[in-house]
Amino acid sequence: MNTRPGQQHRWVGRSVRRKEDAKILTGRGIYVDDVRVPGILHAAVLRSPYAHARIAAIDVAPARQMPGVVAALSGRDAEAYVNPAAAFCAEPVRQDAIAVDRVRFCGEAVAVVAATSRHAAEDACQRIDVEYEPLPVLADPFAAREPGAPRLHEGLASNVAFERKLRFGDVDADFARAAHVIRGRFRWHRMSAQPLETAGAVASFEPADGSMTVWSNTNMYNFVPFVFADMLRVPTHKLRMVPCLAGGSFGSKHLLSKCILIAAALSKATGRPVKFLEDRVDNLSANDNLGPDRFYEAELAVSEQGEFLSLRLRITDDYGAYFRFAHGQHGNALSQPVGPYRIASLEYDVACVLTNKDQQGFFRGAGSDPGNFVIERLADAAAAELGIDRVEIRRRNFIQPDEFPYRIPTGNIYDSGDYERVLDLALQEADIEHWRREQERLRAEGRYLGIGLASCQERSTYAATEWWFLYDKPPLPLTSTPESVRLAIDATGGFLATIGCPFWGQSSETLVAQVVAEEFGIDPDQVSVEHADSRAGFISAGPGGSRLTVMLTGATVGASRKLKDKLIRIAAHIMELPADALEVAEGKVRRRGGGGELSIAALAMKAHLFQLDLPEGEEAGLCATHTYAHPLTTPPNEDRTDLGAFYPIVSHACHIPIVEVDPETGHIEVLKYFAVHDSGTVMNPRLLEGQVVGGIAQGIGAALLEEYVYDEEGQLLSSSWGEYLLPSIHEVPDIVVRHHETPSPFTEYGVKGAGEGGRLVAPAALASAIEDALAPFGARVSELPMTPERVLALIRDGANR
Amino acid sequence: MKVGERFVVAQAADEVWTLLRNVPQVVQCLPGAELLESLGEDRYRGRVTVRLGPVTTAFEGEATVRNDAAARAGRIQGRGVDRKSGSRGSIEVDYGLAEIPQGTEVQVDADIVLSGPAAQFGRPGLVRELSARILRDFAGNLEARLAAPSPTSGEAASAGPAVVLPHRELRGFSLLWSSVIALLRGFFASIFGRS
Repeated sequence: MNTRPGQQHRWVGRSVRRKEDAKILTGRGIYVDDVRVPGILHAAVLRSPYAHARIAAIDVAPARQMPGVVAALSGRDAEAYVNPAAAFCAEPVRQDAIAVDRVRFCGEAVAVVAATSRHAAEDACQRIDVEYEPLPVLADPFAAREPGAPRLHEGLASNVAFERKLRFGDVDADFARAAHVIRGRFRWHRMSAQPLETAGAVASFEPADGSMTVWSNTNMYNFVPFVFADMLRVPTHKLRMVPCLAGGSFGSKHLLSKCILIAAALSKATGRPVKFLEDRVDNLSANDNLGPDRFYEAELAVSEQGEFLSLRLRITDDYGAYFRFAHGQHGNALSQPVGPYRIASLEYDVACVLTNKDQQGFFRGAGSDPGNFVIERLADAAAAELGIDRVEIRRRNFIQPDEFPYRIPTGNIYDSGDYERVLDLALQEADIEHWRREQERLRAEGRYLGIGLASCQERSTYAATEWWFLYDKPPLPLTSTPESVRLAIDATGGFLATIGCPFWGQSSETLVAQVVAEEFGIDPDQVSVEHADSRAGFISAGPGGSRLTVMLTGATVGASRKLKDKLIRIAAHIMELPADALEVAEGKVRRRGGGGELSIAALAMKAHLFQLDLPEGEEAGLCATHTYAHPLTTPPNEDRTDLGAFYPIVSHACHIPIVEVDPETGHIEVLKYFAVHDSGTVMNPRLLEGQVVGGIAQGIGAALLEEYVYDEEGQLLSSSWGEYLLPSIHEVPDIVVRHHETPSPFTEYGVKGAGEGGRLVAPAALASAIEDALAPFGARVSELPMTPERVLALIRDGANR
Repeated sequence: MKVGERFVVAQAADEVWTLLRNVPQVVQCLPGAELLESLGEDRYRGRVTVRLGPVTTAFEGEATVRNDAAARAGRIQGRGVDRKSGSRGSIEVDYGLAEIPQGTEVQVDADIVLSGPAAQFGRPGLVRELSARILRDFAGNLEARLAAPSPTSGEAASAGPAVVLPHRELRGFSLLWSSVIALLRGFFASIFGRS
């Protein structure tokens, strides 16, 4: 049963203070690097200077002679202790945490050392002798996909790891009736999350019984713990994975493999606990989860009246050297490729090409980020070509409030929304007319102000089907994406919630306490929340795909309702009233309409220690676990012309950034930023604003600064924060955030996800702003990030046209 | 990355060629280079140290020198490792002499491949300027040595250097400075070239 949206809430919708802050801000949180275990060793990694080479010989013996060193392992040595990294692809692409015989990207690990200190381990790495035979480097995906190109993986017929042409609806007929076809080529570069704290693990192998404990900042230990167990070669029942606080992830710590495998292999080799925490260069050059790197050829069929009819996308995606998460970022992109628009059909032609670069995984936006950029660029281009105002063309194409739940051509469902209302609120908030006047005034002075506009979807709450439905024969066709919460009320009425997901920087403790407080009518401060390790029997997919608020709310409500029912049964027995005459409110069980109540504390004592006061057959204690299932998963059909519902809780946003572009230097200044989001029922306005603002900051990075640059030899030229540029307070302006609430009909309280929205919208909005600023030059923005060099090139090309 | 340098020295080609054949002397003309060992059959072990700001990179490895006396040309092929950073470098240098009225024109073309941190942290433009600067210094040193009182060619070949140029590691600050100036020159050239 869903809680009625719009009903009066005491805690839902309030900016309850963040429970996590006190320990984090006072330095009392335990991160991987804070884990202290007696006898601990520290690991360092020797990395390949070549992007592609055969390891002709490797000698780690000199490292073993160095002071403080306890073990040094090559990839071949490590094979004695651990398996290759877990892969979710169907293709035979093997990846070892430490390269065996061959390196496939610059920065790949070739040997590891464990020593009594990190610096001793680092020094010892320098003594390892490696003889490389450089191989031809595949740095360009188009060259790599040529039939004669050297193959990166012997088991594959070519470097195109995956290729599929998908059709949803009658694309040809829709294009045939189009009055205009808007064409464009778009480019989205490789980026990654750059969390302040890098990925890491402490692994402690116990030779006496073959068990292992791993402390790490990974996710998914409560979702697919057997995957970790298999990779570490430890029976599932002997593996204990303990979550540490994560200093940010943004998706980059999903199912960490390399750092855990390195720590585990060394722990097995030494019989001692071993810590490996990536340094910044490790993380930049070799982390598991880079974002997409795509070349788009796109066509949008448009009617005489400006209606969008059909979309064709041909995508070449540079996946890098391995394929661990398969084409996952395309499964994701198929959740909302048509944006908020009523587009009847779609052709999606994708090729995932392997090259000598660090691999893709998942990163905030997870493949839907470039999709939003492309559809919004096409919408602006259509407006320009048809001479329709860009606001008006969006209005004409928006899915309307009475059409929900709306099925898009791929089969995914959009649950609810009011896109025009969000657009209107944004236009009003930004005061567009003021900025148009300002633009005109400044142009007279030779200055270029631009007003951006993007109306984008933020799909939330993924279903695991998205990982595999593009395969006809998937290796692991999961259909569950659950989240678990256990709620216990002790004998004195104290509340303890245990959650199965890790802390990744979100506010899951605050949220769970807030929901428990709402359900029982108590104060959130009365609720303690802790994180379960992998031995507690939880099934929790954890953070990812903007799912946590939706899923944790559902699980917490479920566990709360079980306990409320039990409290009512016990109270009804004691008060000799029918159960339906009672309700739980204000920390009590009371008779509806007054006339008798018992406090939860009094009932809890009964439940724990007064067996003779309980109804017959009632089990003692107050503890309930609820595993909340994904709210709407439907299976794909056989021929994959319908992928089913897999990302159905869909938020929406309209962003209006104001920028100034300096045509002399190519510098872009973001002057002001307006964002209106509809993420369903707002659980906690302050937390939601934090997600939106943080996402917009990362979106500014995506639009202006962040890019992995590899040269033709596959050398990573952006291998430090001196070259890989991040947005700072100087680049991120004052951001005005407003909310509209269209509750979801499928979730508890009507909440929707909001973790990726800022980053899913900002790049598209900023591209539009830059194009608007450079309109006098006839410039078209089709590539991000818009670095000063690219801005100047746009101006030059415009002048030449 | 390819860099090249042509320069003219006042001496006759034979004299220049005699010097170029003398590997220990040539190494002394190359800033930052040290000869560690002669391995016979034109193979040598050596080290090249470059300091760029706070970062010192020392490539240690082997090189093969092949000279074609008839053509007065030669080729050096070398590979080295900087253990501290885990960087690798390889180099191919082709050189040749041509007699001209003013003396001898020396042509040196190098193809440098850096891998690992040395390639990544050194921005390509800076590394190019640095390499060009090393070649220019090499040319200057070569000229200085040729201009010094000339021993007989036989002595030069067997008895080592006649003029002892101090071995010095390539200096970070001056190199960085000249490289920055060169980069700026390139930048302005590109601006004026565009307009």
